[in-house]
Amino acid sequence: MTADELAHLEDPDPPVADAGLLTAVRARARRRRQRRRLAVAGSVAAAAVLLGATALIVHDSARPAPLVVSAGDPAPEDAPEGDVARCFPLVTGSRPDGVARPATPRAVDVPSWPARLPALLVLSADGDVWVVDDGRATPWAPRSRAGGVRYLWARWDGDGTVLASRWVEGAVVIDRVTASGAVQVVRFAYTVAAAAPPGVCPIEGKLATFAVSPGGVTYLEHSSVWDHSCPPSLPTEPSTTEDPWRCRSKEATYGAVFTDATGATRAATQRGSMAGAFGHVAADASGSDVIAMAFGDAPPGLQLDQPMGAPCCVIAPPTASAVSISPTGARLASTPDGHGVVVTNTSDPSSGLQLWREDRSVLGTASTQEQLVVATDAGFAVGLPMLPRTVAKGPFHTDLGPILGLAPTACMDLASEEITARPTG
Amino acid sequence: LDGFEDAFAGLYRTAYRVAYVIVGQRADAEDIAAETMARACERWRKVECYAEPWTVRVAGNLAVDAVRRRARMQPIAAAPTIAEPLDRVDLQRALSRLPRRQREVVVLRFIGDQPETTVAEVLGIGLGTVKSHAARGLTALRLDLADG
Repeated sequence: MTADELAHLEDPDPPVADAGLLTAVRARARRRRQRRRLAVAGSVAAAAVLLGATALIVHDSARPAPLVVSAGDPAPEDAPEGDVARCFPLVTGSRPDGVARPATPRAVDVPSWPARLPALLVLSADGDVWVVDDGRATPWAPRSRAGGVRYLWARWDGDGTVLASRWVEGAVVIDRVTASGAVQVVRFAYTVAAAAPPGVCPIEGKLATFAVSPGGVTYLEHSSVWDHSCPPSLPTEPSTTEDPWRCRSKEATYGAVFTDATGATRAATQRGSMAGAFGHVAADASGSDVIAMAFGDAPPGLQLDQPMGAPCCVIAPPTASAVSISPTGARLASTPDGHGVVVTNTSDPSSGLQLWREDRSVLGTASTQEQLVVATDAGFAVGLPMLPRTVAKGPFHTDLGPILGLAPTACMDLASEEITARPTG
Repeated sequence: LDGFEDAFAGLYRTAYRVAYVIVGQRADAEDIAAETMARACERWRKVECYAEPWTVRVAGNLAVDAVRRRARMQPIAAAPTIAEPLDRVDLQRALSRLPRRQREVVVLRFIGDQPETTVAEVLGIGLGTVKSHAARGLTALRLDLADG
């Protein structure tokens, strides 16, 4: 087929683009811009959800040395539609329909950024990978050409590069991202179950969130319909004929698959099953295979596990967001109410204590052995043991200014990573 | 918007041509072309360096979306009252069935008559990927058209 072969389908008398049509097109463009502004103004409530989609991770080993990858940028993608969008909430919740993403991001200075802090990886609500280091925030794998890529999830890999996932039609793609570009590592195709009931994530396959540990990468798998144990029904309960979902769940996040960096499976388990719930990886521990899984509505329920290791950990706190885990998996930072920054020993759910409160909503936390970084919609707060926290103005909401908050009053034993003192005030 | 006014007439012609080949109705094609141009006007600084293939891509996507909307209201296969050459109806159905990326390559390459290197550039994919998408898309189209 060529353009010539299609010539008979063309309009023999096409309209002429005159000045009047140009004026009409410009008016139409103005109306589109106005609709976008109205959509932004009307989405203030949605902004909290939008900003909550920010994931923030600290790489707690040596500072990454950017690796040059000679390859083109990954292709721009569209967003998933219909119920499939429920499977990728980070991207679909990032911006209201019709609202354009900001212009291509540029590197900016981050005033007051603490010295000696490891490089900080930030996945913005727009799906851009940023790295903050030495007081400068730099976009990695900058968007280019038409559309650009919207990453859903990102984690430091051990070599100082970033593994980031994105949605493409029918698959989740993992890219290796560096300062100079991105290359595809692996593509996990999923299927959409024909029997999937409406209103739940319908895919069968790997989800976009994953955990990186020294041994490899752990993904969660999702099933659209999940048969589970079915105890005998009481006379007052409906039968399976009357209630087809009595012995099966509409969806389940049913296990984990442990792979190497290329996506080759090393082990698989059904540990961590969450029948009846959509779940995703909320946090990982860079030095161990402890992961935190979140499931359910906001604030999500939390479940800690070592899918490939011995039974582990406690469920603590039961609901929280902005979760991060210390490198050994011994300590979990989170915010149960969106403002208080709480640290809990994973071996003891009653050990949780609030380090400080942020006036602004906490979007994400990141933990190293020595530092705790908290991102709010006004910037970053960096807590150092026994010292007042530093507040650094972030690159994303520069119009809000820095937050000056309470000094942390808890002490941490760096050797054991366990909290050893209660707040004094 | 330096340059948009100068490029407008040619780009509108391209958008209308692509849209008309797919939708086959003047009013719809005019609306799609105008919408494409409005989007180009909005983001002219970003698209001006590859304005023509961008126009083909957007107009093609809008046209296929329009065909799908129309099909939902009145299935194409059950529309004998539409005074339409059979091959256009078949083309609409076949394009609608292609995966998005294959369809974009086919529209750009064969309806928009864009060179492979340009298709690769505007879609941000490799030349080899363009060739494979074009070959697979064309094969699928021909099979679909042969099935009638």
